[in-house]
Amino acid sequence: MIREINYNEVFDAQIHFRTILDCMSRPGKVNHIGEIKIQTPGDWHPASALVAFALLNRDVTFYANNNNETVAEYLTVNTSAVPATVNKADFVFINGLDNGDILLNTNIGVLEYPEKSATVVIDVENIYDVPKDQTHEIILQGPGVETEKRVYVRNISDSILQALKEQNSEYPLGVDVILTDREGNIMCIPRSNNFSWN
Amino acid sequence: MIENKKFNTSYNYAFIDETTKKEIRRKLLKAVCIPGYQVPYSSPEMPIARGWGTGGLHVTLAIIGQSDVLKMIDQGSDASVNACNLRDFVHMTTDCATTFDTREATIIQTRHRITEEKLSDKQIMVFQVPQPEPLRRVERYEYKTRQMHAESDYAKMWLTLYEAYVKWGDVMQGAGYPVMVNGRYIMSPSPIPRWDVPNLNNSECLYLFGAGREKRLYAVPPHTKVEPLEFEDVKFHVEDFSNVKCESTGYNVAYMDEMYQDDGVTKKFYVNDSNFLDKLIEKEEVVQHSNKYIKKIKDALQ
Repeated sequence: MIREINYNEVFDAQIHFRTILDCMSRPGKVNHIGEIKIQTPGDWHPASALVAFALLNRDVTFYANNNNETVAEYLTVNTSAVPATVNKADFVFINGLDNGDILLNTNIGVLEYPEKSATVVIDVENIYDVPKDQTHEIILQGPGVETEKRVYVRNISDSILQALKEQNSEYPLGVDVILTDREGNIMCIPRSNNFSWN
Repeated sequence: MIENKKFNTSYNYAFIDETTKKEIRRKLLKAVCIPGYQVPYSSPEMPIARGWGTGGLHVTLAIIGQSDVLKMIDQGSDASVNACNLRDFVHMTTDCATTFDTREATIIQTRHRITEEKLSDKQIMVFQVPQPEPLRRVERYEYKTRQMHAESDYAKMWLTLYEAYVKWGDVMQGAGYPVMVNGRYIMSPSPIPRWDVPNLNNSECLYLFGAGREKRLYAVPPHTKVEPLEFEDVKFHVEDFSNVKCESTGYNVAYMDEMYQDDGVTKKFYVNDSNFLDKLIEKEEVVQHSNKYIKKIKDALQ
């Protein structure tokens, strides 16, 4: 199993965290996470792996839906995080074309501690901030968005968006989502934001 | 004497170890996702005592990188002891650039003030918070205040404000006026003067709060609705400086310091934000925060 050596866990992690923080505080903003060459297993996005490297360690659990075993092994080797079932995992890695049912099983926290919920990282084909063909238009409203923000995402299923809406229907309970694409762009949908799509 | 030869420095970059930094980073993300909610965190030991700015320091050190430019202020001043020492400490452990200029900074750590100058979307403001729980004055037990936040049960808070009005004719809370964030959580904005409270609303920059002694992190993302608690007929108001003027500049649409003179009786006023004052004296272009309270004062002056 590959142990990444190009990744600097002090400085790269810091830069990537700031990118994620910027995306999370400005939902719908598309940022690029950088050009570090890492060899993720199968077709799992490097950007998702970099998000994982920035945030995961021995203290948290994760669940990887696609290619479960290889990704799990890769993440364990590189971050020391612990694999868990989807209903217990702190981080859930799925693909945009997966069935939404998987999201319905994620942990949404409890009212006293709403932060004890999952962060979901979803691999999608592309994320654009301008309209493109064959994309879902996602319209975001809420904290971090001045009036409303539109982003265009290729290869995210209706069932995932539907399931996410359902999981986040009882604010402050819910999950926070980080979308990553093939080119290394990331975009976030925190639970505080209301969204619709077409 | 035993010398440490294995590493060049005896501590990690930005002092805190990577495991703890990751924990703080994860909690910060959750704090941003739930604006105004207090996330418990580890509050690791620092070379200063908890309650002397460790919360702000944890946040700053967890987010700072080599390309950041740090500004550190204490009660609006770059030069006070707390600010100088914390600035030196962060500079020593991270090698980041430091500045007094509000506009240049990418991270501004502050004790009890928001800068007078407007902040941009490239900047992050970090607050040192002594008491993160706004309900602590009305409920002493943590498990109960947590329940109250969970159920959005803020009756006791409203009652206290009402009682203050009945007793004194006004809500007497000066610094740290409680605010409602995103229509869900009541939050303590840290002991900033009332003057600064409206600047939290619908801002361009990200506000992060760290309470080291109380082990809590919270955040106000940009463009978030932050309303000071007020009644339909008893409104929130900011400090009144209409009768005083800054001795150095003559300006008075800013938060003012009151300086007693050597005779112990007479007093003079100065603009509190040191960098803003410098820019006024140098007659540099400076864009101030705008909110409806400042607008009202400026309109009245014309």
